[in-house]
Amino acid sequence: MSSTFTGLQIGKSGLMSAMSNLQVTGNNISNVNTDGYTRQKVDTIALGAYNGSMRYVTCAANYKGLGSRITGTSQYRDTSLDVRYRQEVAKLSQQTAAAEGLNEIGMIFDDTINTVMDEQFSNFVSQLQNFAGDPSSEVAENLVKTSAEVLTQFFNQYSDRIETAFGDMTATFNESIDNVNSILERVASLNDSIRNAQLGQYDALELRDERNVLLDELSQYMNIQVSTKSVPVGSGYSVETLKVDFLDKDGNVYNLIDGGDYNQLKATTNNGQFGIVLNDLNGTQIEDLTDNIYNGAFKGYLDILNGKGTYAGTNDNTYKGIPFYRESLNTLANKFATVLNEANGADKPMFEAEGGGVITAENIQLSEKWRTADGSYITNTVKTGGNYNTDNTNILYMISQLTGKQEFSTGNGTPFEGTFQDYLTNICATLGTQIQSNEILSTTYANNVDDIDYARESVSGVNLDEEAINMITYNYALTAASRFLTTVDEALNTLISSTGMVGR
Amino acid sequence: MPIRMTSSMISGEYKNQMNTTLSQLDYYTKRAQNLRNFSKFSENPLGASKAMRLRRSYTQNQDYMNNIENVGKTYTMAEESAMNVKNILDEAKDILTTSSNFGTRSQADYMTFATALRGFQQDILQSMNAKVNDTYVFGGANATEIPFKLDGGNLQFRGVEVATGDAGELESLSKESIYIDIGLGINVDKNGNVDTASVFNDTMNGLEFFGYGEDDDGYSKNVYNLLGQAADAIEKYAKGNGTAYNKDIASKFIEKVSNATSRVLISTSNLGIKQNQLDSLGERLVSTQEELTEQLHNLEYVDAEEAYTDYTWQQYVYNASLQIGSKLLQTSFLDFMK
Repeated sequence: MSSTFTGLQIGKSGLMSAMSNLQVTGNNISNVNTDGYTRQKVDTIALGAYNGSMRYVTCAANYKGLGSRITGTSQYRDTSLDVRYRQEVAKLSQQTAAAEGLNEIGMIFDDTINTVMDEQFSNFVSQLQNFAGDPSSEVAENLVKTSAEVLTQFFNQYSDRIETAFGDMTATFNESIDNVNSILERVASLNDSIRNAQLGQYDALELRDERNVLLDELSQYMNIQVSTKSVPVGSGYSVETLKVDFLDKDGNVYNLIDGGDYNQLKATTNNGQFGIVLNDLNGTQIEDLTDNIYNGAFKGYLDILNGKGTYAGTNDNTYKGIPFYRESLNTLANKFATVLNEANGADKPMFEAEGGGVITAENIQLSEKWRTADGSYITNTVKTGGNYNTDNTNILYMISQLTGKQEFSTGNGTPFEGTFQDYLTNICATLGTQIQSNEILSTTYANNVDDIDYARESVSGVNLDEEAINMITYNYALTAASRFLTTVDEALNTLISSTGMVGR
Repeated sequence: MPIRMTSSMISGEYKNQMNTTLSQLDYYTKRAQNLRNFSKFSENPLGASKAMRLRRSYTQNQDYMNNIENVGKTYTMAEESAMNVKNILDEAKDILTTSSNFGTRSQADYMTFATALRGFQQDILQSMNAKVNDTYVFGGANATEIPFKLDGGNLQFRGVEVATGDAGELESLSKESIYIDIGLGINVDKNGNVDTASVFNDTMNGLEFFGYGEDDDGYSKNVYNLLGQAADAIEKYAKGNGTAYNKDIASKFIEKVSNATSRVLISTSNLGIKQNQLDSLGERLVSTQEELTEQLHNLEYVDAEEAYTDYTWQQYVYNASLQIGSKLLQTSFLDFMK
């Protein structure tokens, strides 16, 4: 048997549910374009009369429901989509990070429209051809010299630009570490805030949205694993804490965030090799993650900065990154200088390293002797010397060396065989193919990411039509609940004010 | 089950599509502007590498053509000059023949003959020092220095007396050679020496064309000196030295001039043979060049019509996408609520 005023209580619960639903609808509509916002709903349950302690039950048929009760507000979110999204984003970001470096190097070597270095090689050969036809001409020899000088300047310039690209990538890498550290700190602090809110029986849905956005961002850099667990806080209550780990290929986990605690990453360089270590807040190293990172933007950056390709030694990064292209260009410059120096004869080098040492693309220049030579410097005579002969076959020998095949060390035992220009083309082709496959992979991963995001949005996004319909629905519910209250009120009025008044 | 849609899914998808459409429009616009098949190495690594190789062959071919053309110019000049010398020698021979008819001519006539021969010498010297674009045709390995010079009336070839200089030195000078690359493929042996059969000997040496030293009879083998000798003899005769010039000496001179003429002719005809060889090679290079140009063009460039059609179509697609965008999500259920 329910009490006299139960009807009013039921009406009130209806009003409260309808009002709450209307509020959440309003909240959803206001956040229709908010980044990371997850659609919310009011959780209500139907309230039964049975409470398990009714010791004086007389007739079960008399028990009726007691209205509705709001248990909380929750989000429409599929966490498995979050996991898939973050995995895929890590793969995509690896490609986009590598693409940054590759494109920068690509711009240096790309001779498709302006055939800079290749054309200069051809020009040098042409000048030698011209000189061969007129070996006593000072003008012709000077043209050879100028052409050679321009070629060395191209080498220097290419090398400069490679170093600039390297510097840019280093800066980007360092900034990304800073960014991740800031994310780690912010997530940990959000964890704290959410925990405190939970202690106050509040789910802090908006803070969760903010945290999810940060976790999405974090997943761009490395493969992360997000897990939650319930931690009892006493009096039968428990709160949910969130843990973020870095998960390597072999399934090893390295903790980044545990509730309100977090660690920090640090960029390191060791013998010119870049790395990432995990430190605790006191700066004590927990683990060197360099070799464990296998995807995400960090992998892309490390590949670009450390990748020596075929020149890699034991334990070196074998990706064809900036060091690989730097080394390739050096090989070309060095071979070029060596071959021509040898062709011009002993003690008459045509090229040398600025400041001495091994000739590289960075330091190649015309030899001091050649620059300051008074009169003829290029040896016209036959290479073997001995009888002085005024024929010009040595110039032709140089031409044959420039247009004939040479062996270029690639660092891994199988040298590249071809002309200087073939080798240059090979560098361009390697780079071109790399960029191309990077683009293909990026497109694939980007599509995957889009698909998953689409699915995620399908679950969590706000649909205005739906919300508008909800608005009508809850409005009607509100009206109906109010009407019910009026009805009960009238019934009670009759009962209280008019009962027993008959005949008065 | 149909997927639940939201407006941000639609607008997000639309933004993605719009981005793709726009970047395609950018690509086709560029293509219609520069008509290039690819503008970046990564767009077509294989094609771009091939284009680089073709361009290189083109430049190389151009070098060979330039070399052949330069040789051609020098040869033409050499031929003209040699023929000029030959004509002068013919005239000199006529004078010598006339002078050998002793008795019909006066002493003064012989003086004229001598003067004429000296005049011829000057003409010959000029021809021997013929130039093309500042390079001396008969300079041997040194085309920048004037080859034949007079020093105290003695003819010198690059500083060495043509008549009386060291025979060995003169011979090595006459055998100097300049080789040029005409695309036969330079062969280098394992010692680093160029196989001269794989390159083209472009040298024209004045000593070889016009002779040097003296023969066993004491006559100069060089045309200039020979005419000088004849002029000297005739002049002495004109001045009254009866033994300096007679019928025997005259016929000797005629014989020597004939020899010199045939040497010039032989050298010239050798030049002709070489020129023919170069001409046919040059023709082949021209056709190779045309072929390379065409290949390069086919590889690097697109058909203008095709590029423009693609561009127009993409422009249409872009406009259509824009139009869809303006109609997208204009209304929602909210608009129909009272």
